[in-house]
Amino acid sequence: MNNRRRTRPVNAARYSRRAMLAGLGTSAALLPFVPILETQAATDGPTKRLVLFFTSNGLYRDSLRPGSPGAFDIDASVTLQPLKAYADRMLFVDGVDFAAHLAFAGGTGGDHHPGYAMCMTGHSAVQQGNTGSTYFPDGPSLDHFVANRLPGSIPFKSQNVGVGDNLQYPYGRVFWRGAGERADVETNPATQFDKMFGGVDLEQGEALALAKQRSNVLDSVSERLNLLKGRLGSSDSAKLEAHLDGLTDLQAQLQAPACAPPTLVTSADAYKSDGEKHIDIIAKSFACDLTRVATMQWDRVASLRVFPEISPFNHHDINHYKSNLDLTEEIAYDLATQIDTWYATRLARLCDKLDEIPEGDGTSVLDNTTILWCSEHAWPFGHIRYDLPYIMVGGGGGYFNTGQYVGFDGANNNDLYISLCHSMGLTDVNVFGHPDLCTGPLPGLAK
Amino acid sequence: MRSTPKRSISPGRTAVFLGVCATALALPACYSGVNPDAAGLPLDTASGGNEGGSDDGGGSDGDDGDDGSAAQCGEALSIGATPMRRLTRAQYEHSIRDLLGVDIADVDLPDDGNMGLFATNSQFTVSASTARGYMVAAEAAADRVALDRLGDCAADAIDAPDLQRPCAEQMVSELGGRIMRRPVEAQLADSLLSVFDVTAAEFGFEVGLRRTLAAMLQQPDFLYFIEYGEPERADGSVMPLTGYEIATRLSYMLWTSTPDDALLAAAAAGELQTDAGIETQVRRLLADAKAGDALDEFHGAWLGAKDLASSQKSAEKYPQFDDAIVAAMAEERRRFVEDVIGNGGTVEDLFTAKFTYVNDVLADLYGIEEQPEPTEAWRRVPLVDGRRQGILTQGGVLAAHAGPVTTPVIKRGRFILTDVACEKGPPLPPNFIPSDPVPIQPGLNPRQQWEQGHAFSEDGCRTCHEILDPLGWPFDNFDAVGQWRDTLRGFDIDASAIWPLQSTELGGKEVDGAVELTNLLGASDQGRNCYAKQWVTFATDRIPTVPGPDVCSVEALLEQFEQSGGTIEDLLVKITLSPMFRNTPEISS
Repeated sequence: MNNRRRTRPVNAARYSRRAMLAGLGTSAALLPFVPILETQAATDGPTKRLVLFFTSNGLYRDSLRPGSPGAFDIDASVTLQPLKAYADRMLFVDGVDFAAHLAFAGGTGGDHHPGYAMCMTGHSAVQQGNTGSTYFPDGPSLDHFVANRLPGSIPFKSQNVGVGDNLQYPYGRVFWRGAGERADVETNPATQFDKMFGGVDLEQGEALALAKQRSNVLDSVSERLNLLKGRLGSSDSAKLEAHLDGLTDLQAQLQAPACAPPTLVTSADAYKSDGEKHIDIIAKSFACDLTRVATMQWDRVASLRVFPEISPFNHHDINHYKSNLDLTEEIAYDLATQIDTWYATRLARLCDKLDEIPEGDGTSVLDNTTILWCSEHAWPFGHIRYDLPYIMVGGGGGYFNTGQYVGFDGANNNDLYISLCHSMGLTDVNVFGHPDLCTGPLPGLAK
Repeated sequence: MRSTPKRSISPGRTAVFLGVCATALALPACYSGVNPDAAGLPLDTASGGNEGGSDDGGGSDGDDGDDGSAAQCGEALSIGATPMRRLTRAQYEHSIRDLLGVDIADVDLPDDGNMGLFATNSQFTVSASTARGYMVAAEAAADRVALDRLGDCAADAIDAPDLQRPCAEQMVSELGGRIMRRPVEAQLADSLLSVFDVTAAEFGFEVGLRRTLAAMLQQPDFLYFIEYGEPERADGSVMPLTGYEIATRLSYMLWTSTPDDALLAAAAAGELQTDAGIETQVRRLLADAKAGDALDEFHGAWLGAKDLASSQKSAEKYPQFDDAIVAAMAEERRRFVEDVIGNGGTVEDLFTAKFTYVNDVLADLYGIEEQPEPTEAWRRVPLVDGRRQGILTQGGVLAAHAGPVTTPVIKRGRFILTDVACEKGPPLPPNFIPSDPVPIQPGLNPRQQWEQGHAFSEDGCRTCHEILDPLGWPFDNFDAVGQWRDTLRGFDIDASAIWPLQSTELGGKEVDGAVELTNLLGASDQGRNCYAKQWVTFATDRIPTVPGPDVCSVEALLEQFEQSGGTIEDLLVKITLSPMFRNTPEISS
């Protein structure tokens, strides 16, 4: 793989101070939306983007399926009704296996934990010491894999956000920077807002002053890290080396051009409100080309979220309605459908926001984006890891043949992820995750 | 459309997984191999662990021979490596509070990893996002701190240009030394002063001073526990930590915060190289109010109760379980632990003490008779009804190991078995399909129904449930928020249990109810030793495994603890005097 950004020196001049100050010169509300990508679109084809939209505990297939393989019919799906307007840009893929879990951790039953490390990485995983519920994968998740290979200097390689305040635990996340390295998931929309749009409320002089002062400070820290890493053993030294890489990336982010921020609205339901704020931030950051790959994890895996308008019982207990609750099968299935539909409604908002952003060539950002909606189980009621459904929305920049229901009889999800790499222009990728689990892009998905 | 072989599981790998499970289940010895000392069994793997952990066969005498462990366990001292770790959120927040008098609780600090049950940042490296979090936190602290905390020269220097550079030098040296927890090296001082010079020249003295403070708070010397040891005093593959490094371990273990001036002074004077010097400081630190933070951090994490939130319970079933009662449960635990440990209590006292602390909401929940005239919100009350005693029957612990509505027995059973008794539970079988529930037979009580579907079932469920469930039954008189109940769905509660895993000290023991179970734990070697080992992990940020390089130190520690009066304060002193706390393996590069 060439063009790995990690190994490239950051070209600070790319985000010139003039560009930043031009943005800061006027108040945020008056900032014109600058479609930075228009010029690139003309030369390199559309700028493509990827969103991994992860919800926990599996999706209830009987309510989800839009028809059957070869016979796509959005009206046959209860769950996907909120996304009806996007039916022609949707691709429903069924019968895909969670290959890494089948290969390395068994197919059914067992607990959730190995799956956290494996489901978005396609890799084997290592159980950590005596901490039985912690598994670390042997490679990065799809978002970081793709982001590290995209050409150009994107300020935020992979924007990892989470919804729900319980994502801080090491065992509740599915996105990983690399082998054994958990991705930093930001759950607080205010912090994420500052990260992406910080400084827009400052006067030009203040912003310039802050940037200078920070640069001096971070240079001093880098100098010290460089010195200390020579004094330590190899594993500790590697930690300081990674810290230095982080500072280099941070310095580049602090030089990124100013971007008109979204107006965030707070509503009473914090989970929904935070999620929608994150959606709006992702959309704006795509509009400004601050990032091209984003992940959104709704709650920790094995989510205990309670949706008050649906049920007093939490999501995971509803799935285990037999042992944890005194519910009938019919009621549990109905509640699971309602929860999935709740998430489909949020996904529709993300589509709306991306579709509102025009590209230079008459298409929308959504047309050049693929949103993958996935979960760690095939089915909420039994920890099953084969026959997983995957929902893709967005045109993928013309790569995917949308408006279809494609069924497989046990394809590996690694190959689906390879298809997504290809849709992002990384057509030389033929291995993602564990090499034994890969054959190449799934047939029948591309145009 | 391509057809891939269905369920293409790699047979070899699957067999390995199943093999692990089958071995663990078929051979109880496997458990004693994991924690033989917890079980009070002969430590037959100890010598192997020692040899394995020692690179140097030179047979030099341990320099800490006064503790007696070296003689029993072999000649050469071996020490496990604690990976370099960053401050946790709690450690960072408390350090900023104590260094600067600033509250940054509202700042979003980078997330913690864990080591065992405890928050530790030794695994994940710093990304741009983490580095940004530290930048924002450092700026918040530097912007909020009162100017005089930066140095007594600061206020005068604002209008006196001649005093400004010397004042910055003073801050870097004095405050910097406290921040870095050791004297500031010349290179670091120069680098920090160049931040000051450049910044002050353009933006003025005060901005320069505050930005220099922000730089100090982002240095690896502050964010990481860097332990170089003293190579010139190395003994074989083991080096003593420096006095400053011991001071740092002591204060983060006993205060969850940075060393104070007295502790740094003791380090500078070489006092932390002696047993007496360390013991004096440990007892001083424990007598300070800040020890409450560390005791709270340890017990909250060990008991799995630190992150209890009102949202975890069904509002319909338990409307009384609100934020106030969650806060009260945490406060009860904090007060109880401080009382027991501060008054010379033992591990047995922790498990069996017949008192607790309540405010009005907790008194209601526990059904404790109100005082005729309550004079203060919190009061120490005797537990006289024979239902509760000790820390394990406190509401916060009971609620943390229960569902939102129900009390799945496996949650409490697993907690007691693995976290309180340090036995290793079975790995979850990866390849079984849960069967349909057994139809409820008329006349069966809830316990019989559960056991039919789980521990006594004929499918894979039983492999785990028959081991993990039993120790939950003694707590079945407590509902999901910790209230007493005599009946469940109209049936009397059956709170009897037999300790699973016959190979251990407690295996096969019969108890009826939580009071009997906690009496059993309190009187056992297993309960005492497990508690001690949890503290070892908390104090050293590593898990002493068997076999492993720390085996001899752990064995010696447990023996000394048993022979001592057994107070928890003595345990904490003995941990800090142990070779595994005071040494580090030589750096390998």
